[in-house]
Order: sequence, then C-alpha cells, then structure tokens
Amino acid sequence: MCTRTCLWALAFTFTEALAAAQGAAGPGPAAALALEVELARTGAVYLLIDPVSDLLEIKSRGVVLDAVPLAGFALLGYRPARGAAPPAAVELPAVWTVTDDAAAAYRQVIAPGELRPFEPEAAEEEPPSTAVAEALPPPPASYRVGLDGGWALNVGPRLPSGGWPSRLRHAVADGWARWRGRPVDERRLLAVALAAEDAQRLHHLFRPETKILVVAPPPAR
Amino acid sequence: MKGPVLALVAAAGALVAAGAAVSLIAAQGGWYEPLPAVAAAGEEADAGPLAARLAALGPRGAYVVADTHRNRLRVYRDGELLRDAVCSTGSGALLRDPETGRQWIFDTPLGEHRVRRKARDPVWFKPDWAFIEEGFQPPASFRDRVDDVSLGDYGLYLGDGYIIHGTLFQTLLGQPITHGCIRLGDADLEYVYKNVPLGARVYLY
Repeated sequence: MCTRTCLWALAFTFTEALAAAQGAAGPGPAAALALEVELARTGAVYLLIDPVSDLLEIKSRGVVLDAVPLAGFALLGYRPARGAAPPAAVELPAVWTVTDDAAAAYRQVIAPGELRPFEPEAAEEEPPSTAVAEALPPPPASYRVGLDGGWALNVGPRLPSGGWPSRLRHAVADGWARWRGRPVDERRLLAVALAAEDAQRLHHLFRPETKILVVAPPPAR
Repeated sequence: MKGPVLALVAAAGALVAAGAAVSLIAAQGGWYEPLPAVAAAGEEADAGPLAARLAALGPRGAYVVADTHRNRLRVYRDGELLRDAVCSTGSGALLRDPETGRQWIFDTPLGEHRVRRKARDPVWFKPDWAFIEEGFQPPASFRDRVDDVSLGDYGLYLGDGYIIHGTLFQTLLGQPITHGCIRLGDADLEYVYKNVPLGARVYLY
C-alpha cells in the first residue's frame, strides 16, 4: 500500500510541474481579444477570467460592468485511480458556455391554489404581494455549474487541494459513492476561488448561454 | 502477558484490514489534478486593431448600469460615474397559473438594452400575471387592467414590458422584489429621466 501511495504522490508531483511549466508560456493578448470581440458583439453579459491579473470581470459590449478579485484559478481534470491516462492539454484562450440554470434551485415558487373572480374593491384592500419582501435563502457561496464540452465551473472559497491526502480522501469518497451505485462527477473543472460574498453575487449570472472567456493560463506559482 | 500481545496483534490486524478496505474503495474512485494549458494554435495577430474594435462596441454618452444582486443603479457619461442609486430588481420568483399551467419567471433580463421610449406619468396595463399572483382570475374588462398609480412619475421603457419606473413602496428599495422591472426612488427616477436620453444603453447584470 505504501508503494502505491508513493507512486501516486510522484505522479501528482510530476503532472503539477508539467502543468506549471506549460502554463508559463501563454499566448499573447490578440487571440483573447479576438474571442472577446465576438462575445461583445452580442450585447449579452459575459465573464472574463484573467488568472494573470487575478480578476474576474463581468462585461457586456467590452464594458467592465463589475470586477471581483480571484483568490485562485485552476484547470483541473479527473483522473481515475485505476486509469493512468495523462490529462489532455487545454488550449487557451478559450470560451466556455454555461448549460445550467444555477438560479433554478433557488427560486421562490408562487402557486395560488385556486383563482377567484377579480373584484376591484378586494384588490384595493389587499396590498400587492410584491409589497412584502420574502425572506429567501441567500445564494450559495460554493457551487458547481455545468458548462459545454464536458466541463463544469467549480466556485468556492478555495481551490480543490492538490495534496495527496486530499486526493486520497476524494478517491475514497468517489469510490464509496460508486460502490453504492451513486453517480460520480468526472467533468473537467474550471476551478475558481472567490470570497463568499463575491461567489454569491455571481451566482445569478450563470444562466444557460452565458459565456466565460479564460484569457490566459494560470501563472506558475 | 499473552493478553496484551493478543490485543496488539488484533489491533494490527484490524488496521491492516481497514487499510486494505480503504485502498479497495479508493481504487474505484479518482481525484482532480491540474491540466496543462497551452497557447491556442495559430499566428499571433496585432492586438491594436482588435482593441480598437472592442472599444468601438462600447457606449457613447450617457448610459446606465444596474447590478441586480446588490440592487444598485448607476448612471455614467463616457465612463464617468454621475449617479449611484438604490433600486429594486426582479425577485427571480416563479409564478404558476393553477388554471392554465402557464408560468412566469420574474427575472430582470441581463445584458444590454436601450431606452426605447420615455414617458411622464406612465400608465401600466396590468398583464395576466399581475392578477394571478394576487389569486384573481384575469379580468375580462380592459378598464380593470389600467393602473395609473404604481409606476410613479416617469417611465423609461426597455422593451418586452421591462421599464425603469417609480414605486409606491419606497422603503423596500434595495430588495429584489419586482417582476423584472427596475424600480427607483422619486428623486433618482427624476434624475435618470432627465439625464438618460432616448436610445441610451442600459446594462443589466
């Protein structure tokens, strides 16, 4: 068991070093600008992730509507314990498209049991329901949003740990889930670490067709 | 003496068994590790013209930016902040009509819009959902749908029924409680009406 663990640790160290070395040689700004011009043509809101300046910008038509500081960013691939296939390299800059409606699970549902005939007098006596602020649960600070191409955006206060104890815990949790017949999420991840308040305020922007542009590889640190 | 030795052997055996079990389970699982990132293939172009094209897509003159999470509306002119106001935006609630099964989602529409029409003393022709939400069947009479009070003194129409308008419930400004429209307090609404021209861009995020 010790030998196997040591081999795992060596494999992790090697892939991290490889990723860092390749990440250091990023493309110039023109390729990212060309992609952004295409996004900005539509007038839709899009997100621009710049791991070099540690910023996530909310933009439309090229205008920065808001920006939040990135506490971390990483591209992560799922590696099965029994599969040693090297992870495929990711070409950047690149655009991802949101496929989930992240807000759907946090909507208040208004469903009158039955409707009564309209009476102007009764309507005037009752204040509109929108005059009463409902106490809705705040959006989550950690969540995962589906993206196209078998990817997901992972938002949380920190990046998934790369250390081998954390990976062993992950492998055990996934193995346990699989053993019990539960699905295991093996999508590749755009992992973004944000302050809780920033993660909450971005949550509603993840609607189907929202675009995310990652302009450069994460710098080696 | 035999007792402690047996206990030690048993404990060691239990540890080995537990380790083997964990190892077997972990072998069914997996973990995340960094993916190498590489520059996209292709020749590097000159960034200057692209930056100019991007800048040309942006707004000129006065424009509005509204943050639907923090419920703030800001007015800019050529990038300079002119006004920062508290507003109310869409609740995100989902309304179901129990009789027909129709559904409405009260989101403020994100992205770029334009001020298509401006009006003083705007009148609201209440759609079906405004009645259903209150538990009423939509009335047959058009007169019952006319509301000349709720929208306040001014309205800036963004299309598809979305309006920047006033409110009777000014104490609730800052909360996400609208059906998708943007509500402002009286003074801020007057400022926006007088300083944001027809055709100006409105960015909602």
